[in-house]
Amino acid sequence: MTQPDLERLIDCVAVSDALDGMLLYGVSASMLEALADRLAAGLRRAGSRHVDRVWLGSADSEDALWGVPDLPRGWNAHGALLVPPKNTVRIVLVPDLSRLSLAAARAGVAVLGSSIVHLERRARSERLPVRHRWIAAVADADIGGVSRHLIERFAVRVRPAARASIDRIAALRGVVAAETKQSYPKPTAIARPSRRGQQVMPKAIEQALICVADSESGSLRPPLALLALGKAIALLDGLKQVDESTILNAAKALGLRLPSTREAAPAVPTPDATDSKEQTSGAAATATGTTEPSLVMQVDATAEADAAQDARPAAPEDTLVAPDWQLGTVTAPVDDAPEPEAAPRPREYATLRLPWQMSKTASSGRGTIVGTRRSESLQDLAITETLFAAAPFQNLRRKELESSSRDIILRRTDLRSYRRTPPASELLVLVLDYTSVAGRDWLDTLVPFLSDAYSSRAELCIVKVGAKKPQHWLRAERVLARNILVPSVAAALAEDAGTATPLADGLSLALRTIQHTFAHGRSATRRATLVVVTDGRGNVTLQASRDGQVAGRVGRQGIEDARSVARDLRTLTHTRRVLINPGSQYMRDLPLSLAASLDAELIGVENGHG
Amino acid sequence: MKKEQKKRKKKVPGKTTSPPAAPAAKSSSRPNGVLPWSRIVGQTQLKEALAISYVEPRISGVLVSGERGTGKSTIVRSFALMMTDDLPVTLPINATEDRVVGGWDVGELLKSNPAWKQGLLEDANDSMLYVDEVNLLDDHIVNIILDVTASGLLRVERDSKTYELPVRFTLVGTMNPEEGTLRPQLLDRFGLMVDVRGLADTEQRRGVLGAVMKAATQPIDAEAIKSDEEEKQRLKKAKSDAATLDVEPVLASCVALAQRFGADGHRGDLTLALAARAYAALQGAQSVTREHVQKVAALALQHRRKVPGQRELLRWAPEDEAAVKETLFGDSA
Repeated sequence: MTQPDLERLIDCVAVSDALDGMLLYGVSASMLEALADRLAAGLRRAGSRHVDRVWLGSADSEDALWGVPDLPRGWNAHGALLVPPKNTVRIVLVPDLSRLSLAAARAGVAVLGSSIVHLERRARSERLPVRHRWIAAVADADIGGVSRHLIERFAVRVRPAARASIDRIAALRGVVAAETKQSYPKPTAIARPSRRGQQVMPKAIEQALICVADSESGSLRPPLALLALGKAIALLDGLKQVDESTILNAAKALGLRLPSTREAAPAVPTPDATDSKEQTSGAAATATGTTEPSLVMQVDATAEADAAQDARPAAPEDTLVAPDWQLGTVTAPVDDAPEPEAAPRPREYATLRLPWQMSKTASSGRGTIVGTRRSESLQDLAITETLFAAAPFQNLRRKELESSSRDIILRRTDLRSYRRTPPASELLVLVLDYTSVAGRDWLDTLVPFLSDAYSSRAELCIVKVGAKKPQHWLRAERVLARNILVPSVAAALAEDAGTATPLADGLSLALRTIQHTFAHGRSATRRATLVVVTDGRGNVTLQASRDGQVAGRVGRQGIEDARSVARDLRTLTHTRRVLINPGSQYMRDLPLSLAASLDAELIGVENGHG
Repeated sequence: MKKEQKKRKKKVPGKTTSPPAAPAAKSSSRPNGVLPWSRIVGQTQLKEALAISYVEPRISGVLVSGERGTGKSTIVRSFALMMTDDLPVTLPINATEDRVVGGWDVGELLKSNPAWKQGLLEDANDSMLYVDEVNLLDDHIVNIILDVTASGLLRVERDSKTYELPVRFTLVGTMNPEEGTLRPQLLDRFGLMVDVRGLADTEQRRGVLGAVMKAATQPIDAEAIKSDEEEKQRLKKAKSDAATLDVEPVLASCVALAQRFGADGHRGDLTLALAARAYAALQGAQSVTREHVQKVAALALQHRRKVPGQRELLRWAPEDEAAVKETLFGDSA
């Protein structure tokens, strides 16, 4: 396996407009800065007169991205993060894609891969050419939290080589000793892209298709990105044509391990001899032989061998040029690879949709501010926006009122109030009996409910019954989360089974939660969905859970108590009840009778054992 | 395009009416990444849907739903370029209300000159309004579009200005269902829906890559321009022919089909009939037949099916196709 050649990739990004987005997995902000330095130098050498850079973060609003009215002068795009000055290429750095603001993420979807962007905001109507290069980073653990739609917009996606621990120490020592900023060497000669570009041979197209032959989806972005990369490499190497060996070099620059049949294919040697660098093992040798410490270190032979043994296939969303390449041979460095079982990724990513407006009434004054809107009242007034709305009319209004005063004249049509994220109006309560699902593939059955909870921004309550390490073994526990993306939800779903099954206590906890939510003074919850995953075999009585100790033989009392609470639950209004039967081999009638007591829809777990 | 702008200028009432906004600057050459229509490989159903919506504007729109990287946006833009020599009027997902329905020109206001700047809905009048990532659009903007498409009337009451004018445009939206679907009310406003899937055929994939690579090195493709012009004329002829075709023989079939799939209201029946007629015209047929209805059934009905308890759109399945056949031709077919 080869490692991605970041320097070469950055040079390719510099000379190709088609490669306007580069996503790096598991890198630091300082590394982005160093890459941006190299990219800026590459862009200048490729003919860009001016290059500047901006950082995008979690708080960037539409106005920050596209500009604001600068009264009284008119529209002011200066300082707009995504509108560079004329003849300027802007490097957009995103230190953490998973924490990018919603506005910026939506902008990324609109901008990346486009040659122009339509701007229709605040009386401004323009088609702007896109002169951007985005470099973004995301941590492995956060990949699942980023919209795949956004990830897929990045033409180049690479996982830089992991650093072997010995190298990390050496690098750290070098940096501390040198006390200099880490950097990449400046690119050597870079050819200026010609208008016509390199001719792409049919065999190159064939090769690109072969590289993505295993792709599950029919997306053509991956092979197109690979061809664009091939063209950039041909330009850098002074080749007039892009053939299959150029495409293989492109794949190699991305660090893809090529199928054995194609590894033997002749590769065009590159002038800067990057291939030889890849053979360097062990020490923190720099890519160019300079004394500056390298940010990308080669994994030594032992580590690579270990990685090959333990490597997992990269998940579609975190692999290279595109998530759906499905290059089964691609492996992630073992140091970086989170164990899927140990660290479950969020099953749902952050949506790119704006928060729903559940009510047309005036702003509630609660919730995070996500924008402004017209208002008929003074409630939750957005003062700055109101003044901006009033400002253009001041001259006319003064003339109309024959007033010479400099006071601001406000009218009702100027009023703007804040637009806020609405409080959750739905509640999903999951009662999970871990003792009933041990060894079964039950999570898939929950997916529709989790998806609904996600799309409706529902609050979540997970009642843990029979978990492995409860605070008290006779009691159920409750986890409350404001939405499904809260990490404790994923953790609760991944818990192991214990021994006791305080099912009645769990159902009782669910009942109290729903009743409290509906009755709570300022709660906006209107609907609840109760999903109980159990085989009905409760072996702890309600009394024992309350007392915290077992008094005598339990018998069927645990089961009967659960049924009794279930009958209370069925009286709840505005609550949908569902029972998921894991399909136990014993006492198969129990889930059925519990579902009857609950008056719940009954869903079976398919495939039984997982 | 300029002609349309002039026409709209007359429509805007009120003494303070000012010249409409200058049309967006046309690029002298074809925008990057937009292939000529005749160079588009595959995606036949989408191409047919766009052609049908052009031939019969009353169908009022096409929703293009599909996975990433299938060329949805490229195809829509290519169609607009072929028919109007310009990119479609585009409503970006972060558009503000004043740009959608119109508002005072702030620059002019600051000079004490009250000038009204018409919005995108007026810009798109008699043309196409394109919304990329329509499912990511602000709910508030969606509501405005819904109102206008439902009534065919743009009524502006804002900033002390009131006027209304008839507006009709073909609403074309693309969306990736991974980000959630649309509300049923908006779904219903799209006459046709196309479920775009990636090309599975290697030969077609090869063809697409070849076309894109060729377009990058050959900005002016005279052969493609000629083919596009011929196709444009064919569509124009079909548009005028469609008005002469009698749709009466298939009306009962359209109603039966809409009922079979539980489509709410009459929009499903109407769209089926109009689409079948447009399709017949595109085929150069002399009459509208049940076969034409069969061809457009999926386009007109897949997003109007009743799917109880489901929020996600279901894909058109072979069973649906069989149901169409059975309804139109009976068991013996």
